Amino acid sequence: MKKCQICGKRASIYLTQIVNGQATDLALCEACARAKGLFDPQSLTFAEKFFPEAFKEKVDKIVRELINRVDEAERPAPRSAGSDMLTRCPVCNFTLDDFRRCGRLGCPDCYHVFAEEINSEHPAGDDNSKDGNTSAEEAVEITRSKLEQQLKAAIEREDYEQAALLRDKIKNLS
Amino acid sequence: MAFNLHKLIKTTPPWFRRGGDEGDVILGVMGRLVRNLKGHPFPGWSTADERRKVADILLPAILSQPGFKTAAHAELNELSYGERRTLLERRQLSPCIAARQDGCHLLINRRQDTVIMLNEEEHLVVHSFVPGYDFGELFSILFRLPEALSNDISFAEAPGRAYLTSLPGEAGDGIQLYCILHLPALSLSNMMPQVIRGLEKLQLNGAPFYPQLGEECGNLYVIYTHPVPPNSLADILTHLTDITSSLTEREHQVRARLLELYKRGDTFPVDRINRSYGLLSYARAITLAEWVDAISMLRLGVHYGFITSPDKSSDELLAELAELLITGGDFPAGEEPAPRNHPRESTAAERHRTFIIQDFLRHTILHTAPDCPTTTDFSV
Repeated sequence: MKKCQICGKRASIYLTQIVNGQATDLALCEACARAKGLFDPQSLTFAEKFFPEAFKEKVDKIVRELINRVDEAERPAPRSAGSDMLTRCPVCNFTLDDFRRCGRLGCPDCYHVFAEEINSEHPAGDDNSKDGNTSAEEAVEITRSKLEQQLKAAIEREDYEQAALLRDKIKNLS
Repeated sequence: MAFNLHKLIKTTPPWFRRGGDEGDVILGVMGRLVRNLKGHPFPGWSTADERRKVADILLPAILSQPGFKTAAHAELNELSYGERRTLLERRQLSPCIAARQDGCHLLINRRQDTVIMLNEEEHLVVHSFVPGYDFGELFSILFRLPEALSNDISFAEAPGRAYLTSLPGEAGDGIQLYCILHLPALSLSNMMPQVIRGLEKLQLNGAPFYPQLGEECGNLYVIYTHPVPPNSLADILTHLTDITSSLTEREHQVRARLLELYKRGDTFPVDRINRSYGLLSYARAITLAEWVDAISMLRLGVHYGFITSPDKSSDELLAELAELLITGGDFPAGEEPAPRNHPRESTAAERHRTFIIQDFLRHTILHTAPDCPTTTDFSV
């Protein structure tokens, strides 16, 4: 009997993903599969059939998360929330209880005041981007270059049907 | 001088009329961009005075930008219930701001392709609309204003989170992308509930464009992303492009399949197309539900070549029908709807739709016997 790769309980959902010719098995229990948005077997099959590439990416992502989880378990545990954490924002008077109740914040400064609580629920991303977001033009360009690479690969392997679809995507993007 | 928002409501939004090459499935794209000011409470937690302070900072700055000097603008408390309803139906006002009053402002530029809301869920909310799958054009419209404003106004940002929003889970690039798709074949084949469930598994959402009409009405759907996390606009756009391309391809396959079935003797979906043509040709009052359903079938008829026009190409017909479908046969409203004395009494909007469509149909031909065998042969 296989165990859930997240919580260790008995697994009830099995997925086999082939990445670069290597089969990766994914075994999840009902609760963890539901938490990962993979529960409904009918829509799962449908998503796999209908959007094969996107579905593959999603499962890849879960597999990567599982690998990362193993890495994190080996690290020392983070410092627990201190008792000196402010429970009221001095700028807008929004309280921690308000945030817990409605999930919203009162003002941009609440992000600093309730940082620990917010980070536990919504961890901040990498801070390697200093000032910026990807600009819109860059986003279109990155998407275009990715599609062009896929188009080149499709032409090289003489998959002209796929190439025509990719050509239309690039055309639509401009 | 700014033109009057009350007058603007009485005209059909022209943003969709620039179309022509949007294809037969993807009708248009929309974007929602949000920004907040540093040091001011979010609108959901602020008083009317605080909202006014935010508006006093943003409004003059926006009205001094090129393209917005002549924008129509009004504070929400200046708009009547009927005007708000019309703007909501046209997606020029979002539901969460529709009921608000003091300190909340609405601005619409002259081309009506950009709508700005102040003190909606966030301090500054920009919605833009572009026909076709033209994200390059959408981004150039959408980002123009915040980029210009960022020279004088500092927006709330944090390292690792990018632009801050009232919902911590939505902080990021401060943008959300929407795509409007016309999917009659997938709807007729009862595949849309599965498609929408499938999309949810892939971090996208799907919903009917006219949610008030139920699941199937109009075969018109909106597929939209979650608010984009920091620095992932390119990934999200690639993902959305992949999914919409898959859906377009699948829609075309199912359309071809339906035509194949018709050629083998099944009357479906030609029966639906002809019925819709008849309804639109002879009805004297058309409800919104009937309208979107019938126009959707008409577009499918044009796609199959069953409906043609001597003076217009099929692309032009598709573009015109797309406009009618999205605007819902927009009635220049702005006033309170007249109460119906009798449940079967038609409204002015229902009668107005018949004029629009019957003028359109006058220039079209329905080929009642397209080249395929009839199922019943009455000749003896």
